[in-house]
Amino acid sequence: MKTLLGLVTAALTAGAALAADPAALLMRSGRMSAAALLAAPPLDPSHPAWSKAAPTLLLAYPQQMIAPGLENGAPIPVEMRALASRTHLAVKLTWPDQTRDQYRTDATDTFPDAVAVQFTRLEQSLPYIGMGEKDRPVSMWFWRHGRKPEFLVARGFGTLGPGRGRAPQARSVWHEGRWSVVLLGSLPVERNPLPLAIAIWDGRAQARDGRKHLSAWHLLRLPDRTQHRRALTALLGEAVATGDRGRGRSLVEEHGCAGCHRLPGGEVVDHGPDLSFAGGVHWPGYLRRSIANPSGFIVPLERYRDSAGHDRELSLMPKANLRNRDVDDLVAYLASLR
Amino acid sequence: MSRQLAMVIDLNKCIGCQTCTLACKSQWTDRGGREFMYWNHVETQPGRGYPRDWEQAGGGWDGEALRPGRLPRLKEDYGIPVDFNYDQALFQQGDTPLRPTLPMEWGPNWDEDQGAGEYPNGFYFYLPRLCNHCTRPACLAACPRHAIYKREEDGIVLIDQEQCRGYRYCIAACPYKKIYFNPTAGRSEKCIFCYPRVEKGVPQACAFQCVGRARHVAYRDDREGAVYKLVELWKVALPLRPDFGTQPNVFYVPPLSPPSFDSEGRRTDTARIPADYLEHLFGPEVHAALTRLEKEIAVKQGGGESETIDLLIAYRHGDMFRLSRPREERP
Repeated sequence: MKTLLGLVTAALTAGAALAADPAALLMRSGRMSAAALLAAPPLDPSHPAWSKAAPTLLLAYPQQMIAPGLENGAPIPVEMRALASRTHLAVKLTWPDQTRDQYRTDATDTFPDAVAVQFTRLEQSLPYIGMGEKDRPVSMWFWRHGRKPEFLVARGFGTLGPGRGRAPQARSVWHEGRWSVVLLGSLPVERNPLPLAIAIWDGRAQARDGRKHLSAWHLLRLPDRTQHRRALTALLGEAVATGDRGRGRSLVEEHGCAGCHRLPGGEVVDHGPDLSFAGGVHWPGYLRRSIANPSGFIVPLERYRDSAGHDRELSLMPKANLRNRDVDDLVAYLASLR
Repeated sequence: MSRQLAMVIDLNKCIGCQTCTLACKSQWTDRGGREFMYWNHVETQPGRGYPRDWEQAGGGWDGEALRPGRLPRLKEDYGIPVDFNYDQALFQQGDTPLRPTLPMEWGPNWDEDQGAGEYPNGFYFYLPRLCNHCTRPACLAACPRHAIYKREEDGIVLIDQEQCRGYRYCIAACPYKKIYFNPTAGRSEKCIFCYPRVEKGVPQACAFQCVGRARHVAYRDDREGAVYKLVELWKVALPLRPDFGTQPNVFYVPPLSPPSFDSEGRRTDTARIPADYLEHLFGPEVHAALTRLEKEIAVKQGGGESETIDLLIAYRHGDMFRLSRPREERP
């Protein structure tokens, strides 16, 4: 994927970006894939029509940005296939899970396996991956084994609640240590492509809430619809990390970022969000904006903020005096943490 | 928070009749997945309590940090509320005895009256427990959705049922294990300090129905109220496990002991309930509280006046509850 990113970079630097198809470049970078067209997308995970949809590998990383989260862990590979009609979307997600954990009405200490697909409206940048932002809501399809699937909406941490959209239908199969879950519903957001992200919970590990694995935003191209080219071009620009990764790493050391953020191989510190998998869960544009303007969006944990004596809340992170090239290099380094 | 409603339970008057338990259950928890829950219960101490071994289940504060806790299990720690074969035993011919339809292995009050100590020095006492509506609630701090709130007007701690999504961090965080997950509803629930009654000036069901007149209810800042007098002024009522750090607003008048007997059967000066055990439950203040209590009892027994003992006797039921209503409307 990184060489493909390099390709994108080369195309951009050659001034070919305007001429090139942003969608094609995003597809090649692995940050976008296509849903196959089907008049009636199936609910059954073993339906033969699923072979029409090309598989996309999404990596779901342990959520470590905000507590409660997962302390450690490796990314979990999730295979996604999508089939869409003009009005409906079916997403099939397959991932490894050694145990099949159902919601139990006869237990108080167990949690079910679960999966969610998070959507947002395509704009020129994407909202914060974790539950969106106040002015940029996210919606989601949420399935738990043994419960009715739900349609939920969130405008930031702690705001998740029932949405006005219709709940999807769901059908699931657990076979030999793998879940296959199909979620089928009316297209939750207009505009093409559709930004989505996935999250999975392992009930056996008492996973619920932020104790989950999640992917970064991914774009799903819907068939038989025009694409929003301007937003795509902007997002392509945001997806690119053209800097010098090695130099970015040196800058991280130089600026003492590890004093507040946990970094791979670094000490456990929690004054700021964990960056061990920063590249795995964030669209590079988010990393860039966080560095350039730390208070633009503050991950909403009390200790990340400084609200004393100011008109508005400030991030505890200082706004460093950086040259554009420094920011490029930092983003390149952070985007490589995956 | 402007005011805090609080309760004092006199353990020397609790007879373990569970009238409070049933008053609560029939009012709030006899349906809808709450059948196993006892927002108020009375357990025998020493004992494993309800839910089983709650004292060892973690939670509460460790300085400024929440201590980790575990979730009680329905079958093993709470006990499944089993059905009985009423139809077969009572309405069918034959000699089938009345029995549970499932084997019972644990339930609330399972170790009732077992206590500790060897004859003739066995001892136990009853400990009614409910949500402590803490001043520093660990449950509230643990909820990532801010679904738990403490009411400004009376300090009652409630779970917003619209906001709760059943994550159960609150249950792990409560060191008293007084929040329950309702698996039917998929949300956590707890004692609501009978707020709909309190708002109408009616005392909590558990307190009002107590046949032993063991429960006093008042606002902590009400200097005429029993809570202020017993807790702040006379210092004979103490919180349970103050070391958990949550600052409970349910207080207990600690249990007095009969004396121990020596191997010859003679009375000794040693109290039957070990002092370190009482200190474990009620903190180091318990010794002074018991001394004060014994002194007041001696005064009263000697024909003298003791405001403390008169209040604890509770000659008039209505005097036990001060919910800021005009005097003539009080029960």
